[in-house]
Amino acid sequence: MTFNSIAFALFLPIVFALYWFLPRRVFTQNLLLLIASYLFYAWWDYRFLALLFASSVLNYLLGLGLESEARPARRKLLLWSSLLVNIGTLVFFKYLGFFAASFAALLNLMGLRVSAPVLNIILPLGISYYTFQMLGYTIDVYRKQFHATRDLVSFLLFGGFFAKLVAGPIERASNLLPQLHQTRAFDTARAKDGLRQMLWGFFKKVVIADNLAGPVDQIYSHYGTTDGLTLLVGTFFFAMQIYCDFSGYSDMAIGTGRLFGLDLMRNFAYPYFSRDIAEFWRRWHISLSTWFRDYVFFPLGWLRRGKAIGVRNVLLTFTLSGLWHGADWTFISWGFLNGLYFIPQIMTGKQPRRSAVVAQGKLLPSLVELRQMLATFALVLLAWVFFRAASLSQAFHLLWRALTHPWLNVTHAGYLPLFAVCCALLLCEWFQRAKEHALEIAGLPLALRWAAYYVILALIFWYGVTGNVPFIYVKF
Amino acid sequence: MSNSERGRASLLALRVIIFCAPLLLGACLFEFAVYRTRDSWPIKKVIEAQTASGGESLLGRANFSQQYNISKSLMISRRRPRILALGSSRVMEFRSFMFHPYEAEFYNGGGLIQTVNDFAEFARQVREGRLPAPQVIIVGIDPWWVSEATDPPEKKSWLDGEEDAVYKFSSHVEAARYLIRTGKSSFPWKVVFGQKHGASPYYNYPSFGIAAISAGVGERFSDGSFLYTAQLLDFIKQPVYRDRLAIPVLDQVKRNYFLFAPSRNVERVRARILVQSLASLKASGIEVYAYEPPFSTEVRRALDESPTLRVWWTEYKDWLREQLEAEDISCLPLVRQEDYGLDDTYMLDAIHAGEVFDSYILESLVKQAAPGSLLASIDLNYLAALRKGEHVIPLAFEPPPGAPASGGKISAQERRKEAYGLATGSVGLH
Repeated sequence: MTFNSIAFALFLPIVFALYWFLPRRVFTQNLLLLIASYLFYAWWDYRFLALLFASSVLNYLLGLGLESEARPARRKLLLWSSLLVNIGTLVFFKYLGFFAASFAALLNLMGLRVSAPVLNIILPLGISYYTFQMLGYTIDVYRKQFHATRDLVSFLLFGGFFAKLVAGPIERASNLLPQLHQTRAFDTARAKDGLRQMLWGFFKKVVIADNLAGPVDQIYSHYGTTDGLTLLVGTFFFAMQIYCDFSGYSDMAIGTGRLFGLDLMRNFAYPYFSRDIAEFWRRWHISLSTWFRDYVFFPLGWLRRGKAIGVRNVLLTFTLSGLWHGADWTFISWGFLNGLYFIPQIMTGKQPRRSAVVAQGKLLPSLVELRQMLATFALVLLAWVFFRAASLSQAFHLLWRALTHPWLNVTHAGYLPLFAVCCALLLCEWFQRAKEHALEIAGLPLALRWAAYYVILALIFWYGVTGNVPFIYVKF
Repeated sequence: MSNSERGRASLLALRVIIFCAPLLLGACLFEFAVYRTRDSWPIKKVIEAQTASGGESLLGRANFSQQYNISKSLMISRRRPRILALGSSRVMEFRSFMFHPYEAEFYNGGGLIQTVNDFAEFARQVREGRLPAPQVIIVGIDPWWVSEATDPPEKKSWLDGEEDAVYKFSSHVEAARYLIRTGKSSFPWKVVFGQKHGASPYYNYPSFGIAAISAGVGERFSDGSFLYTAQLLDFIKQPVYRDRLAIPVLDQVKRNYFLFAPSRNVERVRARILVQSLASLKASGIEVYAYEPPFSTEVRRALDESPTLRVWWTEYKDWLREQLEAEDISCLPLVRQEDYGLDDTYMLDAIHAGEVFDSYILESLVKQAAPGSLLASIDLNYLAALRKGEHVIPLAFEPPPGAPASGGKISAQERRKEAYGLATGSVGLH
């Protein structure tokens, strides 16, 4: 069951009705959501439900162990057990084949004829997300930043809540578990805003991301015969596709959470309006980038131990972040390249901490801000080439081709409508950039709001891709 | 949960329902309309109804895919024809009465094969006994089957279990879009509100689907051939050649898109799949007769002169046929109008030969058949006599009964039906 499926359109109202019309008790609400979440997961792929359950129970017990244990050595042992089990599971299901193939390739380079074993291991749905969530929990309990919960049902729901189970946001225990320990009261304004956010996310997914998928595939599959401008168009389209696909999913997840009185983490904050790469990473896939910041970058020593160590820490963190996306050198290179982008800031010591939105309170950005945004976007586009390419050699070939054949006599007129749609979306988001999502229009009169919803639904009906295209980040 | 909270949740649910009500109403009306026109009937249900009604009937969906993979497979399984025409819509004008004395033994499987993958799948199913083996197969080979630009060989064939489109939500959305886009949204509402429905124009065949009811366009139950009432009416009104397809073929050739997307040459893997599939059928004892269906003269000339398609086109005409003949599979060279003393008026459009033209092609195939074979025993005198029939026009043996004569006035209603039919002329083209 995916957010863009008919099954979900039936599933959600049923769960909503049961949730709000059953007696208002923490246990009842959590149990219902847990059953619904496991049904949601099983509908998608029942084979790994036991793995999700086992992972949740194990981390629950480890959390209790860490909470009750006072001896540092024992606590450390429990933490290492958690790291070993969680990361071990992830490595087994996600990276074993990649590591085996890479190791075999390395041995072959050294002249030893070795062939990597073919491992047909199926990647369990959502494993990267819920494993990181569990890890974050046990580390927080170890650091005594969070008290372990004794409520098993709440904890199982923390790990398996269907809205964020398969593609995040990667929730923090400190955000979600306290909410699960309280009875949720129905808040009309919050539920309505949740519906709006879901609608906006759905629109971004089926109208923009899914329509861009075809041209992007076409351009990237013919990279050997195309020109630089076409590749630039293809990469711009991919940037919009992945943004609309993943932020669309996140919007639907967060909106769904709100229908049930739960506030999930914000995952995107108009990243393409960032003025530098650090700001971009504070606005893109926020739940993952803050996870790496808190559990990898900070423990490594952040930037406090000299510039060289700082550069190492940044590169390591971003490379691991790339690896999180998948067992492929393209993702690793993408992460590494993003890490490289930070070096000038680290070396010069100029690290602007921009938290406010660009041109706050103004209609247009200044020329300096515009230049900063375009420069940041160009860097992001360059990195997307590595992310999207089928292989590292294809990425380099593609860039080489773009440099050596910047312009062929190829018409790009067919791409203009899609380009215009992307620009229209960016424009909408520009005007709404101070809001949490672009359809946050609660202040408008009812008639205008309804008109806006009907227009969006009409666009979905008319231009939406109907084939239930999978979300990109679900496969990570 | 307190009552006031339940009340607030109910109120929100109610507002959502009120908001969605016009959309749901529209969706329900659309569904009701397409159901009444039988456009959204599952193919299996249509065939049951056609079988129960006994006589001739038409299946012509307008908003949903025609899905020959289901209708033709099912009919072949039930009829177990001894003579089977196979290919795309371009072979669909072979009629059962041309095959005297084996009228009852013939079935037109045109439309079933859209790619070489479909052919390979058909051959596999025959070999495995999932489809009955005919005694004679007549295959019209389209050039785009062996184009680089068409579906890759690894793509699954639609014969391999592709389900009926009416069971997919996405098909219903696309059907609604199509209905609105083609501007024919008035038609289903008339059906809904009680006007006569269920019979095709002129022929009065019981009809299943909007194209069949409104324009008399669809596959005949009796022999699987395709009836193009609207195109025939157009011809009767003005008996000249016109490319009556929604996407002009000459334009496709000149601008290299749709069926004529660029291909450097005949794609070898696809060609091998085709030749091997035909050879496997022949090896299992089936008489296999291949031919290259005709194009209109202007399209043929454009292909001969096309800088991007010429090599592919020439290889299709010559090299591919040589490959077939090397496997001892007889293949008529590209059929040309002038070889039979005909002209383009015998073409329904740029790529579909009319019934009379197909009768000449059949005659050539019969003359090529080995003595003693089933195809060689087709009565050619009967076929020649058919062509001399009183009502025969270049495009059909049975023109629409009561159609206005040449130059006659056609009512606004007929024009609309005609326009609709022309707009959906690609129903039979895949």
